Amino acid sequence: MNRYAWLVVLPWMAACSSEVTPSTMRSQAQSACGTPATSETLRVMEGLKPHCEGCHAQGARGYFASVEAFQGLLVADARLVKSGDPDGSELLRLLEGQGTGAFKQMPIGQKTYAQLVSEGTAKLPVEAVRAWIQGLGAQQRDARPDRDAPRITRMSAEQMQRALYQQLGLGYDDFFVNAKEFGFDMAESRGEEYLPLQSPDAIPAPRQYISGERYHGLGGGSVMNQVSADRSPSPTLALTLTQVSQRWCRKALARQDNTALFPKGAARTADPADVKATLKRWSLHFLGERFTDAQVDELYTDVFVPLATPTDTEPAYVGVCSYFIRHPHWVFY
Amino acid sequence: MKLSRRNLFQAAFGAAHVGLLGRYGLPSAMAQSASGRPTKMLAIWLVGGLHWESFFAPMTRAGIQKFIPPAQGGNYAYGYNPEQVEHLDRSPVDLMSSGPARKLRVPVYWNWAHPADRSGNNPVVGNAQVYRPEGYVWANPAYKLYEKAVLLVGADQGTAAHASGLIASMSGVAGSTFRAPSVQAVVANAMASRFPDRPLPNVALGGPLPMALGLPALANPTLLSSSASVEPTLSDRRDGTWYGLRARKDEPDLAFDGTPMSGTVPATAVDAALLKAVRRERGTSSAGTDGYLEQLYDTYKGASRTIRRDMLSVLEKTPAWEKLKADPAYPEDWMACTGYADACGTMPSMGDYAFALQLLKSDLVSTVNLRATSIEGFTFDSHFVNGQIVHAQYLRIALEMVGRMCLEMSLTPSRSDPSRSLLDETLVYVYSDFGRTFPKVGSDHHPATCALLVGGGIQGNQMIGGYDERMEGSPMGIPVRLVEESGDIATRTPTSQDVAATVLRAYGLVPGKDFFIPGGYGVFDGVVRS
Repeated sequence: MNRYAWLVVLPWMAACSSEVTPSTMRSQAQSACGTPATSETLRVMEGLKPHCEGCHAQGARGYFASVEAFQGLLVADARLVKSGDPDGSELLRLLEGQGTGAFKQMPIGQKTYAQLVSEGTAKLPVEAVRAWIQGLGAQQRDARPDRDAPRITRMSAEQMQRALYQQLGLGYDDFFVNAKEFGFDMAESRGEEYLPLQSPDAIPAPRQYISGERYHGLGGGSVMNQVSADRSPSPTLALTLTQVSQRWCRKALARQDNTALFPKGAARTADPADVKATLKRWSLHFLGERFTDAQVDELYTDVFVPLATPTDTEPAYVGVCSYFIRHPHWVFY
Repeated sequence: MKLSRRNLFQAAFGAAHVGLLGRYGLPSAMAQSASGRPTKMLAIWLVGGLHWESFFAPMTRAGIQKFIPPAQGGNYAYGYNPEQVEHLDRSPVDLMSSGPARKLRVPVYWNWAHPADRSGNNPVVGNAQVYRPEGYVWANPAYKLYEKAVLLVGADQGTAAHASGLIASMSGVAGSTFRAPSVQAVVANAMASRFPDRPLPNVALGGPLPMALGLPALANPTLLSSSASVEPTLSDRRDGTWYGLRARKDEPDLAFDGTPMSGTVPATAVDAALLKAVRRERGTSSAGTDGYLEQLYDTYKGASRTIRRDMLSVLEKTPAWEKLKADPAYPEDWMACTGYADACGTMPSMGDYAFALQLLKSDLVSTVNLRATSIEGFTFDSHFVNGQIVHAQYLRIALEMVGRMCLEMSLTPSRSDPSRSLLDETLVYVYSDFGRTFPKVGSDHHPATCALLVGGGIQGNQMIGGYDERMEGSPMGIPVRLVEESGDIATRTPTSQDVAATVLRAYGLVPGKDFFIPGGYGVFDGVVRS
């Protein structure tokens, strides 16, 4: 084994050996830990990488994202690599242009991998891959989760639009009227004042481009506009969500007979008891959790009181409503 | 294949290295402040993959005859003969030189005596073509824009897929998602400490976002699809949105972990309560979750500052086109047409150049990524019949537009350093998804691409690289001299990593110290000013 290959194997040994000390956990830990990549596996991975990683570096088929990915997703997956049985391995069949699945060959293109090797474009011969599979022992996949991986994800633009419509008691008709353009249905904005948003790929599509731009601002993607979806907590998200949440909360509060925020019987007053009851109800409504009295008191003091005036509580209600929509428990799930 | 130490490190760390680098603080490095370096970037994405070889001529006489159709087309001037290839500085051309370092040269479609001529026949090609004025902006001796431009030729993108190629052009590494931060984000991050007054470090005007993978939240791109989206996104002017909610108080600036920092955050009551709420989430789940929350936290702080800054007023006071239009040859209402005026369009139909100018002139930004096309939104993914012919017409117009943008910037003094122009303090990086198959074999995707760099930090009037003229069909690039990460000089075919590294090096950023690109990378030798 190459002396540097220990760089790969040692962390695996350290991680797995630390878990096998108590005898009661031994069998459990051993079944969890995967077979480590050998130096020959690394050699094969590096040989194939230039021709595969362009497409296979991310996602469920991201075999070339790392050694762990290559080992866990490809080498230890019997559907792709059958240890000791090159001819029964789909990987080899794909390289030879004889795949049995949706794709006949990899990499896709006019030439098989074997032809790329014969031309000198690829350096690792098919025979080397064949010999490597032939020599592979039984493989065990690593079933352990990554303890440091994020356990939350941000709501997509589509989810945000849907959630805001539902939670604020608003809908498409509050922002758009149907219009026709060249016979096609279009979402005609009722006014940019209301900060409408609509996916450019939706039917009906937004007639005003800025309605689609606002959807992109929340991280929405579009095939039509060649824009990838973005789920990061970006500045554009923060800025757009601030504006949209405040405007839409105001619109929801202004709408007659809107029971989403104030169901029948709920009092919308400046009385601290009524306000706090509303804040507690909204915590459940927006976040799916009931704030404690202490949390409600704090929110009342920090947000509602500074924004309320003796004659007008509307900005204070808008502020609190926007607070819940921009709360991390709303943005992430 | 040798199982080298570098390969092993690369394989062992894989995509995770970005996070490791972030943890050890490498990407937060500052750019050298040496004079002459750019401090801003205008990245122009010409959509769809370009026939670079139809506008520039980085080939020998034999190569031109082998790969390029002869001059033809009349009003639809297309293809070129070796005889019409000239240096933009009009010095004698040696078409026998195999490169890889040459002066900028192009097939000349215009009439040198009357550059606006679009009806006379071009005798250089036996009257097979009618003069086309577009592209002359790069050669105009009154401005000598070529002295500030360099073309990197024949870089292997490692892919011929649109999304993957775009990511390769932005970050250096092809893939379905980013595995290294975009050059735009790296520069925005590096400039943030030197220019804290730039509230929008990394702005995207349409198109896929130049992601800040692993960098601090401030380098995340702000999407402003057009100037129309600025007012309702960045300001608190609208009563419908802000009535009763505008009041801000300077709150002490705390880090996500509660550590006091210098300065304050101009927060509304809602902002302040939210920052407190996000801080409380810290440590309740995994390190990855904390990373996400910290991004949101920093972003909320940034949003408070952005809205307080009243950028709209700044932008409203900043003119877009103001200098170049003094030259009657370059009016602001320029309209270009293809062929006999089959398709015509104005400057704004090619992208929001005017808004990009305002952003750069106003000093609100460090980097602007502009999605750009040709007239009437023509993109360059020209798979259709005779696509390469149509493509060539539109590309001349699009690059004329890019050139006019650069001229306007060269005539505008820098706000922060009056001894320099806006173009001197900006590196204009023109890229596309990839190249296209050479015109004799159609107009499909081709992984060998080019990058056009204009402005600060580089040595202009150069084409570095070329095409392997021994190949058939659509050639790949030829070896060029590169300064590798190790500092060694190597001669090899360039890759997308090398283009990204060269762009970053122009800012004085040091490979391996200030940035890292997976898969190895070198800097084109002789491009970056020392």
